[in-house]
Amino acid sequence: MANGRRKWGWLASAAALLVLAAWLMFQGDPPLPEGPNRVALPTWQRPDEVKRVDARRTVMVLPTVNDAGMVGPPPKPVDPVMKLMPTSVKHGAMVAEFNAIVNSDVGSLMLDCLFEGDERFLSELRDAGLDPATAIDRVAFIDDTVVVTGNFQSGAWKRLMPGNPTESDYGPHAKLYQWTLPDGGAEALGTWNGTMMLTGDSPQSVKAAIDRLDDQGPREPGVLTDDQAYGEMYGVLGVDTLAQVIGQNDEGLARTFREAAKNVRIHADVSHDVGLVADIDGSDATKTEELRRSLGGALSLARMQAQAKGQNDQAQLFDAARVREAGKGAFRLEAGLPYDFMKKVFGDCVQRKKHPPPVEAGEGDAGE
Amino acid sequence: MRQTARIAYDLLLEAARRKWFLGLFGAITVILVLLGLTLELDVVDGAIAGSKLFGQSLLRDIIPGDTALGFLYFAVANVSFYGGALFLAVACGDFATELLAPGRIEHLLSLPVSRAQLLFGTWLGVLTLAAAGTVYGSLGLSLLLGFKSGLWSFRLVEGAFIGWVGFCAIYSAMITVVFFVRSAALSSAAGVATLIVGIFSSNRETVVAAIDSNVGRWCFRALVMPFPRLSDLGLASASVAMGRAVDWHVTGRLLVACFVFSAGLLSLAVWRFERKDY
Repeated sequence: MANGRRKWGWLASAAALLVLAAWLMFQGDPPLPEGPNRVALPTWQRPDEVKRVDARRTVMVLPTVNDAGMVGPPPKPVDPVMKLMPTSVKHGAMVAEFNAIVNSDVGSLMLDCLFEGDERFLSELRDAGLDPATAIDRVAFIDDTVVVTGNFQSGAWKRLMPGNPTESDYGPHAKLYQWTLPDGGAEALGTWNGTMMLTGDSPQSVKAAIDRLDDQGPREPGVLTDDQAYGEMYGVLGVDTLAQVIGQNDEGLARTFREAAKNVRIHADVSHDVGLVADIDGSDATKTEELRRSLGGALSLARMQAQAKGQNDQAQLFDAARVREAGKGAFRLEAGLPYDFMKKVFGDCVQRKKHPPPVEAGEGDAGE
Repeated sequence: MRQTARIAYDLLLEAARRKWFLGLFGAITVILVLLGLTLELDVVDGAIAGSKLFGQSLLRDIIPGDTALGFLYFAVANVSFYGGALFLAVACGDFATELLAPGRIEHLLSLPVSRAQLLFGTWLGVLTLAAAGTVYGSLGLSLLLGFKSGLWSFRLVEGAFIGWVGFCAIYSAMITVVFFVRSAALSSAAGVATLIVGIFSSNRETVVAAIDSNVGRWCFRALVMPFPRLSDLGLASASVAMGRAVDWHVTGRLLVACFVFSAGLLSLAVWRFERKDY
């Protein structure tokens, strides 16, 4: 009898255990494991960027005339900023879509960081008609020349100029403002068509830039062309300039970079996350491959160092960075900064400005 | 307990006599040696700068070594989870049928061993065998990649443990079927079916959405309900191997559920075994 009861006990326990198993199995789904953060990278010109480029073609260029005196087909109008691009650069030519950046998710965080505790400066800018969120369209750095595009028709911005500058017309569309410096030097600022402001390291460089804008003759393509105008920041960096930056941390890598790299083209997307792409063309396939490996190794090393220091955020960023092959003698460096990371960085910046660390006694004197 | 362990030990001796170990470990060794000879890893400062398998380039990007190995471990863990479960389901089908072979079962029942001990011992023996293969394969691959890359990680072994727990449930279904129908083929088929239903169980809501009738949905849910969620365990196994964060609260519950499911089926098998005359 007891034996029979025990036999049925097995069946009862089987039923109970299977019911328990079913209950355990159906207590909610496991969350899907998080994949790596995918940051959008600017690798091609999107349709809205093509439209943006087309809308900026406002400067007419004369058609070419061949030796026989035949006039060629009328060329497309050109973007004035692209017209300023020289055929080669010493330091670099970078364009920032200032308005798009400032009005992006990251841009608003950046403005908070820049102007926290300095509302007066921001209000002065706004009073002068230079509201960063509305009045300025693009900012470009072309070697020693800085170009700002936007709406400067009102002239209210003149109050921000130092001293008493002299104002004169220069060419058919430009005005030139010049002033002398306390050391006897001269500085200049030019406006062109009320839509562009130019300044440089000397009045001559400003005049040269305006001359390029007014020159309607045929010209060689510059270092940066319309089809490369994508992302919120784009341009070409001089190899020496970049090597100097790299050299601050790794002199050997900087040397390899100088020897191997010929051309560095940068594109950054800061619409939400920050995605960065650097296309590097080399002068020699073997040296370029050596540079590619060195850069990949440097990134890996930086990641390991960040991990060793417990800087997990930074380690994740280095982890997401890639050095991709891009044909013979060329490669692409990709990096992404997720929005949450940027939010933390700029949030820390705002906090630091709100609550600056106390200055140690004597530190201020030493600094002075 | 001692009797159960002795039965398990006898099964391992039997497997050794039948060159079963030689087959399992030989196959794993051949795969490891082949990988060792054909996989080339070029490591620069901890990054995989170049990799080739059978002379063909594997990765074109330079990425940190442990990230690259993480992807590799993820793939290997997935292949091992499903491939290993299928292989073992087919290969281990005849252990329980041999136990019930005419002549042998009578001899075993004449010994001072209960029927439940016989069953649990067989189950334990096969799972020890599976565990040995799992540890040998995952540890071997971890060591191989460690020597090749200089980057040491034993997460694949941890991930393989989850896979082994999944196989516990599969083998429980296999051994239970044998006590109803003594057929190695049917036992293997039950293992494969458990694996398939386990995959459906993990993706039940996706399947339910494709069923039109309410009765059909109810039946499907009732059918898959007690089955182990093998896809979820497979993903957890691969995630652990890769080094991704895993929700251990949920994964632990699924692992416990696998053992409970196994215990339930084994109880059913004992009930059936106790009612049979030999």
